[in-house]
Parts: sequence; C-alpha cells; structure tokens
Amino acid sequence: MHNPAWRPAQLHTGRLASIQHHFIDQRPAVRSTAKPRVIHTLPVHMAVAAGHPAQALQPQYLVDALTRQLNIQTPAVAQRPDWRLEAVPAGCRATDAEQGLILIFATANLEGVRLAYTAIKMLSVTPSRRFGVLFSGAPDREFAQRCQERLAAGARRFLGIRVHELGHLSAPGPDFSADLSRLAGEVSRLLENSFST
Amino acid sequence: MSLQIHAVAEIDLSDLRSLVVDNLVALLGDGARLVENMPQIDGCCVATSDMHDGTVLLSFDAVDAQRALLSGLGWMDRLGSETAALFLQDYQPPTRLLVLAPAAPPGLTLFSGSCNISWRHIQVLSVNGELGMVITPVVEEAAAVAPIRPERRPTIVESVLNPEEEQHFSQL
Repeated sequence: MHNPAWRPAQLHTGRLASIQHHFIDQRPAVRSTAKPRVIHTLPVHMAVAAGHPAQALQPQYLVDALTRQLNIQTPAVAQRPDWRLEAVPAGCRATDAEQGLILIFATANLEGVRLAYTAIKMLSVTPSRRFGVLFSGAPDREFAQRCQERLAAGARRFLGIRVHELGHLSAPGPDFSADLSRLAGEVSRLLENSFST
Repeated sequence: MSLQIHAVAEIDLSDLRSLVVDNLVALLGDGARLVENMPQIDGCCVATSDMHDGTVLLSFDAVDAQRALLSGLGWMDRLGSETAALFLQDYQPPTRLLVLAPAAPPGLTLFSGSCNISWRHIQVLSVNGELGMVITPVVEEAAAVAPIRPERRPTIVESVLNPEEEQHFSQL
C-alpha cells in the first residue's frame, strides 16, 4: 500500500525556493484597518479520484498555498476579510460557506469529472451558488481541456449551471508561482462578483 | 533438556506488538504482512494478507479484552473516516477488526452489528526465558457472533447520477 501523505511530499528545497514568497509574509505587521479582521471560509470540495497522480497537485498543498495567496493578493473585497480555505471531503453536502462561491478541486480523469459533477449536483440545491472548478493531474493540456469541457457541458445540460473553469494546475514547479497567482486572481474576481450580486 | 514454561502476567506493549507481528501468518493466513507506511499505533497494527480482501486492523491486549476491543473500535473509526481518506492517495481503510485478547471482549455482540469484527484468544508464555504467544482458535459459535454485514454504502456517483447523466459521463 502506498500512502504518500505519510511522507513530506513536494517539500524539497528547489520547490520551496521557487514559492517562498508565498509563505514569508513581508507586509507590515501593523494592519492598516482599525476594525478587527473578519475571517471568511471558502469551501473547497474535493473530487479527488483514487488514481490521483502522485506528481499532480495534492489537495492539502492546494488548500495551504491558495489560502496564503488569497490573503496576500486579494484586493479590497468586502472589508478586506481574511480567507480560510476549508477542504471538504467528496460526498459531503454540508458547507459553512457564507458566500455564494464554492470551489471544487478535481482529478483530471473520468472519475474526477464524475465526482466533480456529483458534488455540483448535490450542492446545486441553493440556486445562488457559483462553482469554480480546478483540475490537476492531466497528462497534457488537451486532456485537461477535455475534462473541463465534459464537466461544463454536463452541468449546463443537466443542471442549468455554468461552471467557472479555473483551469488546470500542475504540481509545484517553475511556473507554479505564476499559475497560483493567476488562480488566486480568478478566485478573487469570482468572490467579488458573488459579493456584488 | 526441560522446558521452563510459565504464563506471563505483564508484558510491554512493544513486546506484545512484536509477538503479534511475528504471528501474522498464524493469525491471518498466507501472505499476511503489515501494511507499509502506516503510522505506529499503540496497541494496534494494520495488516493484510492473501486470504482476505482489504486490510485488517488487529487490536491486542494481553490482559484487558475490553480495552483491546474499545481501542480497536476507536482506531477503526479514525482510520475509516472520510477525512483520513481525503489526503491519502490509494488509501484503503481497514475493513475488518480482529481483537486479540485473553478472553472474549465484553460488548463484542453489540458492536459486531456495525463492524466486521471477530476475536482470537491469545496467551503470552515464557518458554525458557523466551516470550511466545499461544493463539487458540475460538469455537465459531461462541466467538464469532455472526456480524451483521453493514450495508454497502453506494458511492456518491452511483447514488445520484441518472441514466442520462451516466451516459454523458461514461467517457471524456
């Protein structure tokens, strides 16, 4: 049996060096706002298939990195809250999220697409919710695109839901910093929209 | 040469664990081995064998059968939670609990309704100063209260996709 979570995956020095600015907070320690900060929870529903590749982005790594990135670069959204991403296991309906955006992290394969669709279907009872789906683990860009299109088409056809495609994020590497920044920007934009609607 | 055999009243948990691990084949059958990469659990270990589908959690106590049962149930719960499976790729939680104790664990009948559980009688002996473990087969009717098989939980995909959706999501 192979349980990579028992070993410190993805934490070798090269990768740490390339993303160190995400976890070294260089902002002034003194907050500019007088009011105490509000922490908002953003659920990340996991549609991680059993065959999620070891070289793909791992769920906990995503949650930690995106939380950090959102808190660094999120613009003035609703009193500048602090964000806390919360991983939600597959099949869990409950979510404490107070805003309308739900993130789904899916393995880029057929099982991941099915799990992601199932999560959307189960959570779609609240019509105001938006869904942003991020894939990881595709062998190439074309395969990732096929996963996104299959999920988006199904959600549109059967649920009448337009899924916000957040693209595909590979495991930490040379481009990870830029990709994470792009992802956080996209999530911020969706969050802004969910606040304004 | 005469054998000096006597029952051991007290044994370190680590020694008992070693005895259990040494006797995995006797307990679980051919091919029995510890599951790799699992954390060290006091009073429990996770093993698998060629004779069973899935993994078996062995919970053991040389003195207190009830403690072995309750400890095993607690770890079955923790290792089987969705949270545990969330971050562990290819993780297979234990599907069966085997309690090793010197007596039938009180409450076994009750808990067997919600968990695939059985027990084996063990006794730790000292033979010429070396520790050994006697594993006594338990009479089937007395020991194994036929477990009420828990209902197989359908996967969420099975439970919510209608035929049209199944067809759409049958390929990429």
